[in-house]
Amino acid sequence: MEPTYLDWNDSIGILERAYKAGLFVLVIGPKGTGKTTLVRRFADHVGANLESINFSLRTRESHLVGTKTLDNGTVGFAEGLLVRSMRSGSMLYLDELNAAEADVLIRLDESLDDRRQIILKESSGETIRAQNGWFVVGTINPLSHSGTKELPPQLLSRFPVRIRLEYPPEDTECDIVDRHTSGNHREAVLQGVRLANILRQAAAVEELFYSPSIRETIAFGILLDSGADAERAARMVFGNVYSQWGEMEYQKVKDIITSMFG
Amino acid sequence: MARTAQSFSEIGSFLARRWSGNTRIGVDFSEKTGTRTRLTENRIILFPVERRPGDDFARYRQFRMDLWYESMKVRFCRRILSRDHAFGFVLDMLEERRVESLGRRMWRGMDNEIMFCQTYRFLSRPPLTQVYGRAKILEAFYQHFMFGAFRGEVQSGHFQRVLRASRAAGKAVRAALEGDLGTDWMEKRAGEIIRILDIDSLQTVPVSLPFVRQDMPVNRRDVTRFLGAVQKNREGDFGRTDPAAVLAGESVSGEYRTVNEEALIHEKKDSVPGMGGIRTPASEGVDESAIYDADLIGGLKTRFRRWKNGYSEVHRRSGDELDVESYLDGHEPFITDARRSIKSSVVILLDHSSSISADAVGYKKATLGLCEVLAYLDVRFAAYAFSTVDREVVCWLIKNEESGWGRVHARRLAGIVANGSTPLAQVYQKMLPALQARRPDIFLTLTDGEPSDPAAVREIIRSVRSRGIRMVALGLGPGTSRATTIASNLKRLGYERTLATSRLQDIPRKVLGILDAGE
Repeated sequence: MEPTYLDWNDSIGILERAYKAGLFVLVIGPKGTGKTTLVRRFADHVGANLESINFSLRTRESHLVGTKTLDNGTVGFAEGLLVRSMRSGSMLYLDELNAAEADVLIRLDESLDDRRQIILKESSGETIRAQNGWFVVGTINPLSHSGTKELPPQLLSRFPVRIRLEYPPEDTECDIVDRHTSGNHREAVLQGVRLANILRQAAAVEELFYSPSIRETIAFGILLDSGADAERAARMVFGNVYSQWGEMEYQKVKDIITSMFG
Repeated sequence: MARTAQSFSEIGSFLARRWSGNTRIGVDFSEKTGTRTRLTENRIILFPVERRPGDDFARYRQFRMDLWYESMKVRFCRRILSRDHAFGFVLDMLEERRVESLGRRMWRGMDNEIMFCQTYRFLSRPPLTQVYGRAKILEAFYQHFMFGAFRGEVQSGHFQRVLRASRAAGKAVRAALEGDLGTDWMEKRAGEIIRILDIDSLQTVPVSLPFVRQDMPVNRRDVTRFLGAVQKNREGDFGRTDPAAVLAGESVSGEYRTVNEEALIHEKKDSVPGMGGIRTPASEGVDESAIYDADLIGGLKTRFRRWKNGYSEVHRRSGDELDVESYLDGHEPFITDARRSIKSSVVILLDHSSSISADAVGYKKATLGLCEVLAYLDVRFAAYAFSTVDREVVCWLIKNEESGWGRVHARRLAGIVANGSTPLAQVYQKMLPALQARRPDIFLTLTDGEPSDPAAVREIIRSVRSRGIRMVALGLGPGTSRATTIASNLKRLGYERTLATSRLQDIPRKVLGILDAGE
């Protein structure tokens, strides 16, 4: 395990137990809480080959299963990531599952049931059976995130182990930042984490259009290490991004930064 | 200045929610009550910005700090009593000092602004020579405890009592901070101070509005002098502060400029040439929370979420995915994504005649939900309403096409009182210049009755349609059959499309259906 990763809520332990038992896992949490980092670190930890797909409204069945191709008048078939992963028995990471369209999820559902197989009706009708050790981890964002939909219950039941990954408590987030930085600016980092939490709360009630992630608090700590003044670093990391929604949005956030850092 | 108040209300609500940690707090302005907070109603009421002493920037800084103090009270106080009587007044002073210290632990950039605010507060207090009766000793205590000095002279008989009360108050605040004690404990100390001052705890305190009025000049020498007194008094808490930096207020000057520019933009947007017959409803002091149905809005947003970033599949000559059957049949062989969004601009007119008054709240909830979801989907829309005031038909502007939907617009909607008949032709006539200037794609009228002037309406609908605007009407009725009758009568007036609904909560869905079909 990389020393920079802090498993603050024993997610690695739960993943490990599920992996050994062959139970698929769903990680639920808002953007930027370290879901992808968790899965990548876990794959490193168990030495599995990780295949990832990031779902969106534009992800289609063909991206998962495969698509017909047309080369010089000859129709062929290029296998998708799901089929390749089943064949090789690797770890499959399905990121932002609830951003996908229903028809995509139906094909996915077929492969995730107890038989662990999928029929390639798009091609020759061949049945693909997953190799032993095939392991699937999915993530979903809360419904309040734009572009997300409710996951159908039958698909939810394919992931019987669920991990909730929220933003960590203030002190824990500071510990995470410390692992990526010198740890010499604990007070200022704590203030940065508090600022991030205030902006997250505002975004949760749709008063702001963007919610900062742990990645940003780490960046704030790194800027402090490089000698930047806390208020300036806060503006660069947390404030300036809001100017894309207009001067007023930016000034609102700048006022919060000013109140916190002077 | 009314527009400026709207901009201040918007930024004020945002800041108060972040500072207090209470996401439901709203900010209003009132000249009558002065600054106060109603915890149970989630409302902070502030003295109007333009009525404060000093120049525009100084007024903005006072507004911001008053808001911060009230937000800290929301965060740290269990109760906030009225300052109209001596007990509440004294408790508020103690609590203000306590929450100031607690707030500074997290909001570390506030020191200069606190100094500035206290200077103007001191400057705004009446000289003791102008306070009469039993209020005098209380005012003397306030000035001594808050600013460490008096404006004018205190009566010799009062001085020792004021001094003792001031010491006891300081001690109480320190003990509360050290022992992490709250409002309940502080209430007992307020009682003790009242006893030291030897006054009646229910003694009426005149509403403490700033003494220096807009038309009274504030001279810089006075400000510097009062700042000196405040700095000396608070040196123990704040250390040495640079008077030049306190007076300059550079940290908030950028924000002040933006709020002012935003206010000007609002003003321009709301004063469209040729809109003489259209009025803007008052939004100050209106509570929009009564018509804000969070469940309905949340449900609508979830339902139409996919419209926001939606894509639909279409067949094209080239694309990502080959559809063999289409290829063999000789049709366009590739499936590709086409973005789905509503590009039509729409003007919505809401009937506020007396017939909807029985169900005005439900109607407003549904129309507010509609506006919220239209804004969420980035649809270009303007909203108007009509009602009768003093026997005159008034067409109200709720939201212009250029303005983003916000609390101010919700308040305008909440503030319209349903009254009068349905003189649609007269209303359309008033709106004609605006329609001519804007040329929306769709003009949608929501009404629950038949117009009192059908021939004139028919005429004007024909005229509007000739300008390329689609005229659509949605008939609202108490039951399916009544709604259908209204809609079929509307159809005879020449609308291109008419719909009917008997369920108010169906209004947003029906309107979005119209917009989707219009693409």
